[in-house]
Amino acid sequence: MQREANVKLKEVISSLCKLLAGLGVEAPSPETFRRGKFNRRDGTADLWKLLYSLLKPLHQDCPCASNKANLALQVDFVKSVLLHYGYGVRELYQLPADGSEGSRELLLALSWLFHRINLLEQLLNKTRLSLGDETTLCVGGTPLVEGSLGLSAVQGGGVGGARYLEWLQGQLRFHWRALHAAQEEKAALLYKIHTYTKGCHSNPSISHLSVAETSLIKSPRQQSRMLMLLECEITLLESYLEWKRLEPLYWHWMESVLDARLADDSQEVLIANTIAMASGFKRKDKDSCQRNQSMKREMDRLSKELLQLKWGLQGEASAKRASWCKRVEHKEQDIPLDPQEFGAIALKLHDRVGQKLSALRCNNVKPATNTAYRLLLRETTKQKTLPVHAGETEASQVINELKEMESDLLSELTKLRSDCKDEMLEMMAGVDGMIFIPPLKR
Amino acid sequence: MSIVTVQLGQCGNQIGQELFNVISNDSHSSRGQCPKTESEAYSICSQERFFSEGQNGAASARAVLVDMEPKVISHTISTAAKSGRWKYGDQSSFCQKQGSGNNWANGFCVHGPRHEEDIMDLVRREVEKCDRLGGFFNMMSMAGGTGSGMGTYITQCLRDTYPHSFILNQVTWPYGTGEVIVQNYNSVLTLSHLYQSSDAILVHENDTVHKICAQLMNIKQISFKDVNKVIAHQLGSVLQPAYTEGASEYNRNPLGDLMKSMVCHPEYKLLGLRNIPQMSETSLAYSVFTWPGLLKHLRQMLIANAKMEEGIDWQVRPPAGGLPPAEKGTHNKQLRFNTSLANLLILRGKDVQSADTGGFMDPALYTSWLPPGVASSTWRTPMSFNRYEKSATLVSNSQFLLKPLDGIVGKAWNMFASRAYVHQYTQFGISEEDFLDSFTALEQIIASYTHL
Repeated sequence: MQREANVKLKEVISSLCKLLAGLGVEAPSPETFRRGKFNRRDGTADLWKLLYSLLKPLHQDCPCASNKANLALQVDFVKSVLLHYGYGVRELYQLPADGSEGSRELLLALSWLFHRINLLEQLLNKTRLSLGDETTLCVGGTPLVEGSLGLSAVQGGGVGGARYLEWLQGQLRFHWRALHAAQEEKAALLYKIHTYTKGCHSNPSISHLSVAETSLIKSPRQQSRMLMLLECEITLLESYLEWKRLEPLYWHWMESVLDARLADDSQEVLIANTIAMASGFKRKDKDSCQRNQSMKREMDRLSKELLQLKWGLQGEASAKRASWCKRVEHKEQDIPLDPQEFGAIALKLHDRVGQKLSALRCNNVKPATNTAYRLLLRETTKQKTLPVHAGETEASQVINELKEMESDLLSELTKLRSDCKDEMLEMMAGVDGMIFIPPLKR
Repeated sequence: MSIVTVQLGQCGNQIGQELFNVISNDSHSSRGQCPKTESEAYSICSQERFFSEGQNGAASARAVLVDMEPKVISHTISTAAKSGRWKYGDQSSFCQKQGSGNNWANGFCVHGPRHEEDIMDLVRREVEKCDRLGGFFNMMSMAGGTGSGMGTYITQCLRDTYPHSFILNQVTWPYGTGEVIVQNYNSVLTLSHLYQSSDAILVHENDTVHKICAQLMNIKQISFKDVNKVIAHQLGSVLQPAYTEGASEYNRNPLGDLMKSMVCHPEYKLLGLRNIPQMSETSLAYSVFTWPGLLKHLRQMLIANAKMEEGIDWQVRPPAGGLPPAEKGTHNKQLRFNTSLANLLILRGKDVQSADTGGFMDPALYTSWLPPGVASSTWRTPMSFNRYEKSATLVSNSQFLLKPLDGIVGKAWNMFASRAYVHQYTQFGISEEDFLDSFTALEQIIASYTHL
């Protein structure tokens, strides 16, 4: 029975290693996994490296990620990413930076990642081959403000200063315009290809070829290469299916790992740790990742502002209510007691209030979504509103949404501009001997 | 990437026609010393930039011609067709029966809005022919009524319709002793309004070009055609394809690259142009040039604010380093030293890779708040331009135009102080307040350049 279980376990772990190898990650041997259960020191470095190479593709833009094969840096990176995802086990963060101890902790962290963020599925998604024309759509969200950067660099003369910043901003604007023109050209050419190849696709719902497919038609060498790539992907997916089939055994084994861990620790530490894992409290440990720190600062700032806003609104509301009540008392004498007239007046008031409220429509900040879409050229559907399936949307709808966002932001910008101008006029009024000259009216 | 040229008024149309001539000849001429692939790449890039495929494969210039009088436009179109190599499109010109009478207000407030739709239609048609719009190149003069007044209005319309495009305005400054009495009014109004909608204003002064024709090219009877040819040569040397630093293909975004290096700050948009060598065709055959010689001359022209190769003041030197910025201004004024904000060198011809442009990276040439690495750029191409074996052009955003600008504003203010001829403008819709606003804007520009 034991031997059978062992054999099964070996099968499970080897399928996992095969999958990892297929994903292009250097997978440790199944022996390493088994040893990890018993918290052996050898093979710990391999497990750290494994976690690093699994997490790096998902967090390319984190400043902690480095290309060097420095184990200490890799350990730091893994810790900061786990913190980012909210992994609450204190022992992991206390593991030494040279990566010599804690293989069991690492195994637990790995399995937690598999479950929590669908690590394997995310990686599979990244390595997916796609032949369609893709575009990414970024909607909503406000950029994280990194604090007052660069303002300390603004001084009088010398290299730098406000004028240099203005110069750089102008340069940025020109670069942006060039990018915009390039995007327009790309869209025009894409449209040409899509219209010319209408009816060529084997799938009737798609009906036209993409750029990649068109270039495949032109060169047979690329075709054989594409065939190879597709075959690789199929083997990868097959290994994934195999893993999925054996996955329940993996979780059984993980339970045994957890048992082994809990058995090793003393009683109080056990309770403290389970509470920690359950509640996911904020880490106060030294965390070197800039991004995590700035997110923490931002969240603190937002919660403080929210509290202040709440108190402020309460105060304002009670003050306004008091004054309104007084005014209503005065007005009540003027209002005729005839029920019909009263009803008409009430309705008019209701409408006006409704209009004012809709004008004050709050710009709810949607979280930033950054989704990749495949571009398809289709005839416009007869229905007025296309039901938005998960992941399918119409370009005209997206355009309308973006236009709405644009007008909101523009009105906010004009308001900010006029506020700024009023502020400057006030300041100028206090200074003798200076005239404020606004730019030429158009 | 294609540039749409908008030729406005008499001056704009005539110079535009010469420019297309120069470009067409340049891209078709055979060059012995360059490999065929290089030559072909140059031709293709240049053709795509300025010409579209008309019917029967004839090259059709990407241009819109605008004038109020029919005479100049018809002459321009027929001259172009005579060349045989290129022509203007059949539907790309707009004209009316009667001119603007040198009245800026007439052009801006009356003719502009009235014919806006028709003209923008023509522009739209040209833009649609482009795979990628590289920007607009508007050519006009400052002294007249149509070019300056209507031209300014059209530039505004272009900015409104194509907010993300690059707009380069080429402006011809009138002779100091010009024929049009109100030319200074027109100039002031044009410049102040163009500053709002255009990205960069490239200036040619008629006086300077006239001197070049007389002294360098030894032309006895200088006609407008000669002046226009020189201006077209200078413009062509800027707009024809070249390699930006480190690039392996001809730049596909010439206007964008120009703006990026030169006019990033919104207060400093005036560009001056210096091109050497310039000489008559007969002398050209017997002259030999070296890059060090050309670059040395060009550098001194920049420092001493010389308008052409002859009569350069070699005494003027850049100031030694270590002077605090406040004192620098008066010090430079005493030395008649020309401080630059940004410079672009365009080198065309044989052995261009060996040319050393280190002299232009000297921090003493530039203002203190922009590092010379950012302020100075170079474009090169081994293709020779317009029969000059080696030719160097300097596009400079510097104090070149400070004195002429000051002169124009001064003269215009003197006239305005006595309200001379102002009624001609107020009757068409430009009020005295508009004049005052324009004067203020220009004074601001002059102040910015003075304290560079």
